[in-house]
Amino acid sequence: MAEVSTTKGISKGVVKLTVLLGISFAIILLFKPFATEEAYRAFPVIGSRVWVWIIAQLHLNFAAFVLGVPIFAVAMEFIGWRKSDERLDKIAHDFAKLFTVGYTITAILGTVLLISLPILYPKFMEHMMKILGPTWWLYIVVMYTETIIVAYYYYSWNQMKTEGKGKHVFLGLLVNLAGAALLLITSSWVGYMTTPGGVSEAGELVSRWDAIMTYMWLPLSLHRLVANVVFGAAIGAAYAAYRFTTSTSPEDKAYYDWMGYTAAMICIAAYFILPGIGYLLGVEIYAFNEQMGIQLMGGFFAWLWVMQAILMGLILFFINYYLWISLNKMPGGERYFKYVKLLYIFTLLGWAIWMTPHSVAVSLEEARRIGTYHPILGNLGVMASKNTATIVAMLATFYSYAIFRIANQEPTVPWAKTGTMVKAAVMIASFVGILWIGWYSYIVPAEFRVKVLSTIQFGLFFGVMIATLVIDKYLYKDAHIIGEPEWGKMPDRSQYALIGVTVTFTWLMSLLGYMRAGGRQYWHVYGIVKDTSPDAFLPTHGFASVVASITTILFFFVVAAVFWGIIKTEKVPEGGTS
Amino acid sequence: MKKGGFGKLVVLIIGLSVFYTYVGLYFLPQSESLPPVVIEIREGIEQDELLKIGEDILFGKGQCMVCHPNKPEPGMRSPAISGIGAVIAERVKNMDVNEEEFIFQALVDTKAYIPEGFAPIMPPSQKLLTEGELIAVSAFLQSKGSDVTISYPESLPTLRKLLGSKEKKAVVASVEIKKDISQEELLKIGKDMYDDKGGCIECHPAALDPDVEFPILPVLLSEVQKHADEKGSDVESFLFESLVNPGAYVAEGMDDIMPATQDELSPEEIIAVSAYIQSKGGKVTVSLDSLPKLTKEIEKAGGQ
Ligand code: HEC
Ligand code: HEC
Repeated sequence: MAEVSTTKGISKGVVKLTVLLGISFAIILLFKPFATEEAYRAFPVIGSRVWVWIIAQLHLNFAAFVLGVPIFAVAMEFIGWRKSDERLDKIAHDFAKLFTVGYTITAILGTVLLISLPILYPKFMEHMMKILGPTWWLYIVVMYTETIIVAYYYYSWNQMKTEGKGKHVFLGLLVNLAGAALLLITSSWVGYMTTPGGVSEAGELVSRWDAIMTYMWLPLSLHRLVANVVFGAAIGAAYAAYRFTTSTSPEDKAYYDWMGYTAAMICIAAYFILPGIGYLLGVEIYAFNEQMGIQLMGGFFAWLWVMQAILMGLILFFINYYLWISLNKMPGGERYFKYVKLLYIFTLLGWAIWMTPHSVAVSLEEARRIGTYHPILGNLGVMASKNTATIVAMLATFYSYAIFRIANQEPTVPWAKTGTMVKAAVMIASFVGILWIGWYSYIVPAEFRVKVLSTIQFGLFFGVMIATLVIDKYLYKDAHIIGEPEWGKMPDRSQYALIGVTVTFTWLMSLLGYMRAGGRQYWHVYGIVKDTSPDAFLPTHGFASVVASITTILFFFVVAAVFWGIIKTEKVPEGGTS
Repeated sequence: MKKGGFGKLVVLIIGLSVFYTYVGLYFLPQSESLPPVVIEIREGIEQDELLKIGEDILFGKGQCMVCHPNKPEPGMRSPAISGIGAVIAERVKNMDVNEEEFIFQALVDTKAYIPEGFAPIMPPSQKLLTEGELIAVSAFLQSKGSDVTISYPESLPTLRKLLGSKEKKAVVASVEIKKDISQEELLKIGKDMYDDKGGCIECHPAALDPDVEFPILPVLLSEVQKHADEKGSDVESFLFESLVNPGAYVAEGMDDIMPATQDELSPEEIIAVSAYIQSKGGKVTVSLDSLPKLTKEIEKAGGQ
């Protein structure tokens, strides 16, 4: 992007936001959405629900993107600054460019949503404004703050590069704090709708603070925060992958290969903790209302969890595949091919078990037919084996990564042989241990399994990862480097695997977003404001999949436009990159 | 820049999305989830029909099978349904409840008794099922290994008693009643207590209701007066006694199922509700000055 002065950048951002808000308020004022006895207005052709569904999901996708990307942009800027690594600073700057443009699109989609909701759902929005109205005004204030800091952060990059880098990193931190505030405010709305508090049965406000501090609020915010990091990183990886496949110069290829790798690893690292936080969120939903918990976990949505397992497994697949190919660029990497193949098989097995449905009694006939368990795979479908399978697949992925990291090195420490053996022992013991706990889970009471064994399993998983990384740190100290990694020496298909991760994760977000909203069933605000519209039912899973696909494709269409815009402007000042 | 990358990208994005849609459309069951409908259960319904409805609820609307397996299996989260009637019949032999009460309790006050090896995760069913539906599903459970004694509407009082005492646990905070409160305000609070927090209206509706055989609100006072005269005590004391120790005097032909009021209401709130009852057809004599009298009755009842 051509150099724009910081003040000009900031005023541009503020003007944009003001214009968008102005448009929404003008339309709302002109349309007088609340001056009606009707509780609903219908959106033409596709209906209000599908319209709001798509717009809200797109808005959320971009919001996730603009909240997630800054987190690691700043992290990289910080590390780049401390280690004086120019490459990291460039990545960080590239990402900052991505999210600065992303903000505008998020705001435009937000505007469409802001206009649509009161017009299509006047009675519901009236209720929301009555209960949580003040948070909305706070939201606007934080949005302005965020816009100003983001613009300041981005446009002052080069200026503050040599002097005041520390201050600049601090600005980045502020960007993230403002982002977290936005996330907390919006999560309170969704939290209130799903697990409402602070109101009487009749929907009168009792305590606004209780209406904000609902069961779901913090776990949802945390879950979104981590998912945003995963998502932001995935988009970064996809961007790098695309640039990789379309660039021709070796320097560009090397740079984008490295950027894609870094982003993908951050993505997967955050991805590993997501199930744990998802579990927390589930616990809170159960605590609020077990019936809702059941409906979400085991009732109507049971098959969608199978779908989720398919998608999450595919993400691990893509990553494993990518790491496997990556060994090619490591001199000495060929020594490890056979192990990685084995790990690949572990992932595959884990995935197959994970997918095996259990407790999916969606109808009387079906419950009778499958006797609540899968007829062929039987016991593999129960929770005990699911947890085990998930952990085995994730651990296999971790080992693919751990092997890749050291593939081009030869330890020189005197205890190298012992060290390698210890590592191998830890690896084998961890797999055996996790599998054994999984088997043992079958013969103990459910409560013990849920409270004790699952915790041990997850603990073991994280423990083993940390142990392996620590051992490696000492084992490969002053290691003999067989050869530097040949960044850029990757076939295009590896890059498509990264894009596959991003597309799959986006689709998954649409699906889970739908499930989170669908958990309310025929309520706008669970138990308080009933949905009496013609759409007060949950559509078929097929229908939901179609909407998820439409949203995903639309999302990438817009993202492609952004990337294209960036690439085009880039050519002017930097020249010669293409 | 290399050409062709963009085309491949489009193919990849659309291809994966189409693949996922395909899985969603053709591998997953395609049903919609409609808002639940109330299953109507007639009075004097045949047992066969009741059991059939119970079975449908168990597998369908009740969502019970999400947790409960049909046959016992290792590592199960919830007790198996087959033979559950026999298990419960065996268990209640050493308890001071009967089978019927136990099953109802298992459904509406799910945390009251937890069989060994299970966690208290079962949601109370009354949020999802109507009284009739609860009875139907209970009868079906009983039929799994025991003689069915549960029927509709005969089991209603037993169920209602449990539902009533279950509500108690979710007591709302006490209303503050000031010493110098006007009678008008006191009556208003009394009405709230009667209709809402006290749950009196469930059993003593404001007007005649064919489903309810207990004294209705307009006649409560005259009943109290009549019985007080029979017993030779003053109306106020008798009224208090019938509220805080309902078992002490049970009108002829009535079951002793009314819950003790002081479990749910504070003494001041009982005063308010008594005044409200008096206001329906009589002179209101009860006021906060009657507190000592009430306290005495509560003490007699051995209550709090
Ligand atoms: C969330 C899972 C879950 C759901 C849904 C569920 N139950 Fe249960 N149920 C349990 C668990 C766990 C127990 C044992 C612990 C307890 O008593 O709370 C149990 C206990 C019972 C018992 C008592 C068994 C005994 O031996 O004491 C009965 C009866 C019962 N359930 C019936 C039902 C019916 C009928 C439904 C549907 C309306 C239902 N359950 C729905 C989990 C569930
Ligand atoms: C579970 C049903 C139930 C509930 C709830 C209930 N009652 Fe009763 N009530 C009865 C029955 C049955 C009787 C008659 C048997 C008896 O005297 O115990 C009765 C008797 C009475 C009487 C005495 C009438 C007489 O014949 O002397 C009064 C007064 C009364 N109830 C008031 C109340 C008030 C006030 C509440 C709310 C705080 C309430 N009841 C809640 C079932 C109920």
